[in-house]
Amino acid sequence: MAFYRNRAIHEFRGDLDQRAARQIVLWIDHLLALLEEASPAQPSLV
Amino acid sequence: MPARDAKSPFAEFIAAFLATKESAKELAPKSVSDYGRLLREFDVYTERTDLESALTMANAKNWLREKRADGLNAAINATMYLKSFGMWACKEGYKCGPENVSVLFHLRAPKGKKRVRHALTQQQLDAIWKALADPSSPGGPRATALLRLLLATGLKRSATRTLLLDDFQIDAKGRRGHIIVRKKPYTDVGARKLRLDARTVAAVRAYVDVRPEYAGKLPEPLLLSKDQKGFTENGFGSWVQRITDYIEAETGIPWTTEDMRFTAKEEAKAIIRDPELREKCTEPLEKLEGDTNYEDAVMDACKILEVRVRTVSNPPHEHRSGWKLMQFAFAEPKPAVRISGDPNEQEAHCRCTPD
Repeated sequence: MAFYRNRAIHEFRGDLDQRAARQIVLWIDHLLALLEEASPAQPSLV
Repeated sequence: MPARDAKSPFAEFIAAFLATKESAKELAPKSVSDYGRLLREFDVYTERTDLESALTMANAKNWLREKRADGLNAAINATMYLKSFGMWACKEGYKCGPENVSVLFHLRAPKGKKRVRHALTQQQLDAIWKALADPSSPGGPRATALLRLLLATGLKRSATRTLLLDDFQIDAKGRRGHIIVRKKPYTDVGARKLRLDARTVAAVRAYVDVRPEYAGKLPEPLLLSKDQKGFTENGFGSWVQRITDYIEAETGIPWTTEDMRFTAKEEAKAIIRDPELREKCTEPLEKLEGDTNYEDAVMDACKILEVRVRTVSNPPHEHRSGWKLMQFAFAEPKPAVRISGDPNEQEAHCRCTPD
């Protein structure tokens, strides 16, 4: 959880109001979509 | 009223035209005054001659060419005002063109540039807040308060001009609050109570703390002009334009109040696409009552992300959670999962520091 709190602090200067929380959840939503493309069958392109 | 004909001075027709528009309630008082101002300008341009000599296609085109120097919108408005006057003059029987239509029937307004509204990114917003915090910013805390209000509420800028000080309410803990938006002062009919986040409340409070004493009649507006009164429509428009110009000059972001409004609306509309995330987070995010802890929604989202990242990256035991997991999964130079071909974008997803 520390990672995410830090991310929130970085992006929103630590003040987790409704708007900031929404932004973080939408950012995670975007990240989940990217993860879906990088499926477990081909976990890494490196 | 003396009888007029096409040989009467053009100026005499202006008042009659405006009176017709006013009595038919076709125009708002401000528009009446704008029409009057522009038509008087046209009268001066045509050397205060009679209607017959003044109202010609050649005069109209030449005058509008000069008006272009005042800007595209000024030229468009001037064209439409003059065309409206021409139609009226024909309808009243003072002067018509050959086909019994206005002599300016074929006059075309210059084409306006269609500006596409865009939602501002978090980085752009940060740059705007930073520019506004600069002491050289026009309006200082007042400008920040206005922009924060626009972003928090999605209100039109004209509605922010008439917000009342008493309608700005801070909650018991002093962090968040509300603003009531009224159709008319003193009446609750059609009034809307809009929620304000902590940053907006802080910005409005910062402005209220340094705001000069109000010197006008009640009710007291929230945003005051520099002469300590409520803004006039024109005064407000000029001030907002100065802020817009300043922001664009300082940040390079072509910005309008409409963009801020659009950003608010887009954010409210943005839906969570991932079904699990949507199911877990929508409700805690939408809760408005009391001192809601939005961290619940973030916590749930983080847990889902952690499980997915773990599944995809298959980390060793010591990297199974928190920032270590994210570093293992995404950090350059050897991320376990590549989610972007752009190293900066890839890095952005694990920009983190340990506790």
